[in-house]
Amino acid sequence: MKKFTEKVWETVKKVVIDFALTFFSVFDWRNDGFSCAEKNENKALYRWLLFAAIVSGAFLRIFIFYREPQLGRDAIYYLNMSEIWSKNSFAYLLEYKRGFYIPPVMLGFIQFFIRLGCSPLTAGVILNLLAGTLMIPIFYLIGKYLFDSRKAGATAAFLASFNPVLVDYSANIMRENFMLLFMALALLFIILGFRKKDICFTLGGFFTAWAFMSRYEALEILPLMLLTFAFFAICRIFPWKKLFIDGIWFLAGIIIGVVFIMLIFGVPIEFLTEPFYAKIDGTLL
Amino acid sequence: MGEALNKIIKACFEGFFGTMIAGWLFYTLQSIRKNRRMFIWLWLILFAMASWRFFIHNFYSPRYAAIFLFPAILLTAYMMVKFRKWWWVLIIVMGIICCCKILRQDASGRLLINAADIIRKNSANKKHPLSIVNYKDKLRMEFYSAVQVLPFNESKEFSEKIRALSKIIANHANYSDAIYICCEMPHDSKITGENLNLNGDFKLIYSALSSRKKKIYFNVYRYYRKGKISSPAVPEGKNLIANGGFEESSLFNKELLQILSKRRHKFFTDKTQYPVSWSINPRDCNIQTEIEVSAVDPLSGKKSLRLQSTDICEVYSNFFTINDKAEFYCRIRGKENSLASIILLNYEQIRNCRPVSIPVLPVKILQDDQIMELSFLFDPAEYGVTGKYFRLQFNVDNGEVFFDDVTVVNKK
Repeated sequence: MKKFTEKVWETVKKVVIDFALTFFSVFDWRNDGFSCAEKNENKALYRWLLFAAIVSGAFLRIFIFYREPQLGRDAIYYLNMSEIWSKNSFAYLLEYKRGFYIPPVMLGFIQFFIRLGCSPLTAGVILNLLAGTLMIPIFYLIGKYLFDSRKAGATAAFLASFNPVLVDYSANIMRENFMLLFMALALLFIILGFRKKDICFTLGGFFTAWAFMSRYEALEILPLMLLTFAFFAICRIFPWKKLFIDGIWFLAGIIIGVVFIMLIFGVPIEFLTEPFYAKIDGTLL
Repeated sequence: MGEALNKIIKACFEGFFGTMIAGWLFYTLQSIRKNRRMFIWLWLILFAMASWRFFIHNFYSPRYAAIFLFPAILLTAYMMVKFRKWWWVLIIVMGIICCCKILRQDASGRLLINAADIIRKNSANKKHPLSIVNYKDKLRMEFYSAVQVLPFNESKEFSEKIRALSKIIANHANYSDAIYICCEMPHDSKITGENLNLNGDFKLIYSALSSRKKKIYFNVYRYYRKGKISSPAVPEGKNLIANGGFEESSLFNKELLQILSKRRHKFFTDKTQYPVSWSINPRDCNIQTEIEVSAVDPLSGKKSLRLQSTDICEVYSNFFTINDKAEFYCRIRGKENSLASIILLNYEQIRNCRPVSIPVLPVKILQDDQIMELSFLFDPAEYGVTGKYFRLQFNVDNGEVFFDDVTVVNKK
């Protein structure tokens, strides 16, 4: 018995010391920037982990929707508006509701599925579950490219699949879900733009446009990008000429994105201009 | 600031917020040690994201801080990976914490669906059922129950709730064969037929916990009236509303037409009849709004006021004063499923004063072209308003509604 107790004690000591050493080794990192690169990463393991994260994330989202299928009041409003849009056009929605300001991306996708024959509820739920699940591999790629490590990517994917807030968004019909999906894509391409090719900034801008046409809060990316570019230029992390060109690529991407969205969803230009004119001539909607 | 911080924490989930801060500090310490500058960028970005939420923008819901999910997930992943061979333990611990949070059953997770099911089944053989719910549940109840829904401002005060409900039920009981009242109540208080002065079958048909913390229940009551309730009479005395019968009308003036045409209104022309002594605000109308004095099939006399909209449209009466209490009466008719409401605006003074809005009576049209007679007694003291002047406001939230014989009389 004594021998056994000693053995257990030794094991506990070893585990505690090992954990403490690992903890303090955090202060002795040898990496560069955000890099967490490790030698001989087991690629297959992390791919399997990504697969497990996607499957468990999708299962969790579907399970939560079946357990608590009651939608939020905004969700029903979005479904009603999408249904009206599917029978008419986005221009009609602007006339139908005073000062209709909801950006068109999510409603546009739902009305497209309604036109294909889905019920509004099915279209809304499937699209949101899909958007929530798609975010998991995108987080993997962001983690992988930002930290130079598949392990970090797989960890980010797992965290995205279990995060209660993300699960809650996906199991409902919410514009936040689409905003976060497109913001994640924008972030991924911005990281790739800095790490690999400048042209990726165009895609970053393109998805930024999709993000703020899902929810205007995503416009926050613009000042954050400006701040990032200014910091990189001042600290000479990148030459200012490169940053200037990258900025132009990014803005071009935004313009292409906005025009593309307006064309495919048939959004009239008044949707963007009317609030400004209305404010000027005092007849704000 | 504390409130904003609380919302940011909720936006990325409490567990992730803690690990995000830990990851942030780890990265900062490492950068300082290695004499690198990237940590300044991270601080700048996080401060920019947090500061405008703290100091500039007053945001109402944690959803407005959803962008914080990115640093929360990525910095947590960074911190976990830095623990090298312990990272999988941290992932499992975080996974368990998240699962506990996700799988915790929400008391109100199926509440409205269950209530709507019961209402739908219960009203299956009724011709004109009506359910009365608070504004926040209106769309959902309509969606799940497929019964006509009348929203009302649900107060937390029991007496105010009873007052609002009794006015609504008294004015709809003659036109609906089953009324379902959905409201949230503490465990110890219950609504009864006597509370609401109702004669008929009043019964609680569904009750479920809606908030575990506050011990509040979501109750559904059913009311079947016994026989026909006598119609209200037109109150006698001097009518405080000028042109309450809408018999006097004029053409829309050019200035108003100009504003309306600027906003691409299709309906209003130089032949549209405007109700004399009443006013409209063109900014309150959407493009499809129609407001006119109509001589087609009037409710009484030769003309009635017609309002039609797919969104809120409003008309206002002249100013009047109430001595103590006032009796209100009007006739309305409209298309089925139209939603209107009668609001009293209270002003301290006639000019340059923001009114206090008192939503007195929401009205649902249950049958096409059925004439409804509405009446209620209005006591300003009950609503705690102090202003001397009042105006009557008619709203049509959607559909088409005719108004006529609008009468407000001081009660002696």
